[in-house]
Parts: sequence; C-alpha cells; structure tokens
Amino acid sequence: MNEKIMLVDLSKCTACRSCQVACKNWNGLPAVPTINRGTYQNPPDLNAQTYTLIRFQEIEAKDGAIKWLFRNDKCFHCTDAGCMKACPVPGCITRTESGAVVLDSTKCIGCKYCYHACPFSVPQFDAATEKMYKCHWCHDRQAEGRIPACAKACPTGTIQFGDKDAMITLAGKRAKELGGDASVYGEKHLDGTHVVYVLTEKPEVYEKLPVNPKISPLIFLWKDVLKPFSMLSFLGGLGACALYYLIKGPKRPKFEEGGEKHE
Amino acid sequence: MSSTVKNSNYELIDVTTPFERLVHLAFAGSCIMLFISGFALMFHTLSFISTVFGGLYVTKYVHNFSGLLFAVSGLFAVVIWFKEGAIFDADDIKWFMKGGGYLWTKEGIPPQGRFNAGQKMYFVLKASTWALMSVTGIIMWFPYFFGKEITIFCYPLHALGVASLAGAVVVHGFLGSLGNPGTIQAMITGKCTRAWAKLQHAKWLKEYDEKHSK
Ligand code: SF4
Ligand code: SF4
Repeated sequence: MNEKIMLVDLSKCTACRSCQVACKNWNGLPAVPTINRGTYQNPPDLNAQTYTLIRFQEIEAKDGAIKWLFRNDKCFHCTDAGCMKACPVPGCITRTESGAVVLDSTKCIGCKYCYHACPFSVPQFDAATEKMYKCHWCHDRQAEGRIPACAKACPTGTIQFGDKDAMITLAGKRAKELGGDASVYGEKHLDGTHVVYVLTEKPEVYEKLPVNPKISPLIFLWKDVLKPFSMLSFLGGLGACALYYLIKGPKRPKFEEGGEKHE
Repeated sequence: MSSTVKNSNYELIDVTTPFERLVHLAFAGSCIMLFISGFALMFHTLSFISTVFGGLYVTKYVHNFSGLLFAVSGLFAVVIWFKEGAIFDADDIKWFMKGGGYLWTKEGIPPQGRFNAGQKMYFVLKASTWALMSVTGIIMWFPYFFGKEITIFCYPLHALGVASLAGAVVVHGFLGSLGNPGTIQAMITGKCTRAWAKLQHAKWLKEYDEKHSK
C-alpha cells in the first residue's frame, strides 16, 4: 500500500459533524452525556469514546464581524510519533504501510506515557478499562481498500484521502488559491504528519493547535540519553564487581591472627 | 568450636537490631523488585521479564506497589540511619583517599565505625534517590492530578535516578555478600564474628567493647 495523506481543508468545513458521527458509528463508540456549556463543540474535548472532534471557535475578523472556525481534531499520525517513542509495550503502538499510527488498546497497560509524549495530547484514557484510545485512521477499513470513515462521510470535501504526493500538491494549491493567511499545516512538522490541514487563519489563531509541534526534548532526554545510561550503569556495576572478584577476590576476616583461638 | 567464647575471633556479636534488619529487608527487597519490573517496563528487549509477573499490565502494578513499599521503608531507613550514614569524619576522608582498600592498596585503611565511608556514600546516594524516585514515581502514577507540564519533567528525572542507582545497587549488593564474606549474616541474623568486626569496623568494635567491658 502506498503512503497516504489525509487532507483536511478547513475552508470547506461547515461543522456538520458527519465525520464525528461516522467515526463513532464505524468504531461502535457510544455517545457520552455532557452538559450544555454554551457551545456547539460537544463533547468538550477528545475522549476515550470520541476519536475525532469538531472544534468550534469564534474569532473576530478584520472587519469586526464574528467569524466561526471549525477544526476537525484527531490524531495526526506523525512520522516522528512521540506516542510510539514513549510506549513501553512492544507492539502496542505500531505503524501501517499507509502511515497510520495504530494504538492497540488491548495491549495497553494504561501508563499514559503516550499522552504526555504526544505534542497534541491526543491519546485518551478510559478509567473504566484503564486503557488508552485514539484514532487509528481506520486501518481496518484501509486494509480492505476503503478510505477512513470520516473521509467517506464528509459531504463537503473537507476531508480527502489519497496518495501522499497528490494530496501534498493539492494542499499547496488550495492554500495558494485561498491566499491571505491560509497555509498548509503538518507536512513539515514531525517529519511529516499524515493528517495535513489547509488552515484559513494563521496556526496560532486555532485553539489547542501548537504552532510548532515538537516532541518535547524531555522525552528525548528520557528515552535517548538516560535510558541507555541506566543500562550502562547496571552493566558497568556488574562488570566492576566481576573484575574485582576475579582480580582481588573477597576480603575475608582473619580468624587465626591475634586474639585467642578456640576450637 | 565455641562461638560464644568472649574475645575469641569466633565470638558472635550483635551488630544490627531486628528493626534495622526489617527496614533493610523491605527497602532492599522493594528496590530489587522495582529494578526488575522497571527494566521490564523500560526496555522492549527486556519486556519478556514481565511474564514472571503475568504480563506488563501486572508488572506496572508490581512496580507501583513496590514503589509504595520503597517510599515507606525508605523513610524509616533515612530516619534510623541518618546519624550514622550521613555524617562524615576525618577517617572517612582517609578511607576515600585509599579507595577503601578495595582498589590499589589494602594498607593504611583507617578503622571504620559501624558504617564505613563507602557505605555512608551509598546511604547519601540512596537517601537522595529515595526522595527523587518516590516523588517522581507518584507523579508518574497519577499524572492527570499533577498535569502534563510537571509529569513530563518526571520522566527524565526518574530515569536519572535509575542511571545513578543501577550500578551502585549492584556494587552494594556485591560488597555486602560475595565481596566481603561474613557481611550477609549481619543483615539476616544480625550477628557478626569478632574477626569480621576487627577487619571491617574496628572503630565500632572498640566502642562496642568499651560499652560491654563493665
Ligand atoms: S498525534 Fe500524537 S497520538 Fe497521533 S501519532 Fe502523533 S504523537 Fe502519536
Ligand atoms: S498508555 Fe498504553 S498506549 Fe499509551 S504508552 Fe502506555 S501502554 Fe502504550
């Protein structure tokens, strides 16, 4: 299978939430009761039963009018994926050929490392099952030659799914066409995310969207520096003891010299 | 062999109290469990170790609850051994300058108290990492309570604790067993022979004899 890109052209989104519903539908996820918080954004954030969410945001446009921004939020399926780097369980977070980062919740032990290592705080914990859940890019559908449910359901052409190069070209074209503050977001971040936005505003305008998403250097320090040092420290200690024992041998008390000997 | 004859090299002397041995057992035992479960959780190549606990999910809990025991027993350890473990004197400096008699020379090692300078150094390392590992460990256990910014700092700090402890724990375990015959009994039965005390902790033996001469 070729490497794929999901292009999310936010200029076309009408916030119908077909994607959100189709995702729930395909994955058999229940609705979670919430309270009215005076916004259409519902539930308030991604959660263990909501892998994709339309964010609603009001901003003031240049002419003083109120403008509504909609953002389809979910896992970006990063090439340099923090979640994969942090997960302690072999085979729990894996990548498919098309570029999906799949979290196998059945293997998850609930350590929550992935949530903290993800620059977008995507993986969501379910206290009842003690496991993490997130968008898996419908890797099961993709394996059958189908496109992800959200892309299938989107009636406006906001979510498009296709081969990497074609999508990247399309994204660039579309951003140019829109002009102004419009830009492509994702293809240059984290070695290329597999979900790529066409934003209509500058990235910093969007809520909960990091302008320059990066895996924290603390995660790097943890996994790439101190983790190998731990092993080095352990093996060093072991080696030193073995050498000492072989060269110098144990330090034995002397029972024969000094004091009286009773036998 | 009459092991109780006073002043013979075979005389058995009480060197640790039952409470000390209990604290040491809990602290050391939890520490070893933490290392085994922690390495299984840290290295994918070592995750096979988790099968002895019943998988990585259980291993995580083994790690969490061993951590609780470590935190509690460590508190006792720090309290009961602080005076003997954290205060260094001139003899300790000399001991360090001679490498404790373990490395390039065996001569001229100043007589040591109940803990020698190396053990004191280990105590200081252990006491500081006890605090570090307990605090970062609890935050990593309940990260949502403390928030992402704090938790993400704890990951490298926790690993820093492992890196500074792993080698030292191995060396400590070796010196307390194979490296210095006669030491393990002090941790299990609490007794040592007079010969062992003369060799390892002469200053303490002197104090002991002064106290028991009457
Ligand atoms: S967005 Fe987060 S959860 Fe998704 S692949 Fe990237 S790091 Fe992993
Ligand atoms: S919470 Fe689950 S998926 Fe996330 S890092 Fe831990 S074991 Fe892996």
